[in-house]
Amino acid sequence: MSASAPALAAGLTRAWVRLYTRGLPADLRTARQAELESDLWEHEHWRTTEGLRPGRMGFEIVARLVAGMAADLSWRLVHRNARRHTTRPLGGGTMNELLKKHGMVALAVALGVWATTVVPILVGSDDWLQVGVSVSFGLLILGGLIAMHRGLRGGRVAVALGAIGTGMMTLWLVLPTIATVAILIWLYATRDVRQVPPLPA
Amino acid sequence: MRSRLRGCRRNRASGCGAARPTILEAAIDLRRRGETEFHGFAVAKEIAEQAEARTLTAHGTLYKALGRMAEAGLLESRWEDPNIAAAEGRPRRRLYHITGLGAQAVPASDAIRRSPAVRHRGGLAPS
Repeated sequence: MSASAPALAAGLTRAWVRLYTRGLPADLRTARQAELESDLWEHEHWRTTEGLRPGRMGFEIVARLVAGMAADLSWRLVHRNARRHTTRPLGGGTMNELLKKHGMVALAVALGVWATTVVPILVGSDDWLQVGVSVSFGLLILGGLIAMHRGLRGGRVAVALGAIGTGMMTLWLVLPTIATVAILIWLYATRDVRQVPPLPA
Repeated sequence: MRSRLRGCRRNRASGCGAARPTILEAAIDLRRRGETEFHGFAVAKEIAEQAEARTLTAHGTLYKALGRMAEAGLLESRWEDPNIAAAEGRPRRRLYHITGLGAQAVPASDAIRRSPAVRHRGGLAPS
């Protein structure tokens, strides 16, 4: 176990770098991953030459990883926001563009209202009211995800409200709901760029 | 450029201000020893040796600070020739060198570090 500690720690670091660079521009992501790869190699090589115990070396790598996590996240936030401001301008556009952007969100809201109000009246049962409210919270999550996907404001708030609402309606589902929504938020917020260019020459 | 430098200096929580003076000092020490270019881990090692510390600068703190210093014009970087790295059997290094502006910033950072207020807070050593 001790002998494999540096490899394990390096693997953790690589996984963390891949995680916090997800969704960032490919050149930035590749450069950061390559820089960390080099750092890990240099660290292991230096400490091996010095004859440091593998367990201690693994601990050192993990300590560097953990101590820098806040800086990593703040770095990601800066570059993520910079990318949004340059690639996804909010507001403006023709009516056609606005309809294209907001149409799915409007549809989700309309379905939510329909599920909350019309369905219980038509069916005439309190049970259906509960179902309708649950469905509307689900649609709120869907609308929020669509809004996030399209770079609109308020998407995350909608998803969070939907998650809280769904959790309150079906208490036994609180944890799975929160976990699912958290995963969906993460996936949408950090959609990956498929093309990974080579490092600059 | 001066305003960008001031922004970098003010934003200590971001990691730039926290590690910048030490990184620059380490870079200048490396240059004095003939190493005009350095990679991230070399500077982390140099900082630890200067501070006689057991721990190395954290990955996040180090590379975020290096990036911001490059944006502020204190450092410039290039990727090493892949053939050199391949010949030595290791990953490519990102090599930094200190710019004229960076060299000028070191005396200022020394003054900041020596100020009583900073000493009272425990200095500007990286986390």
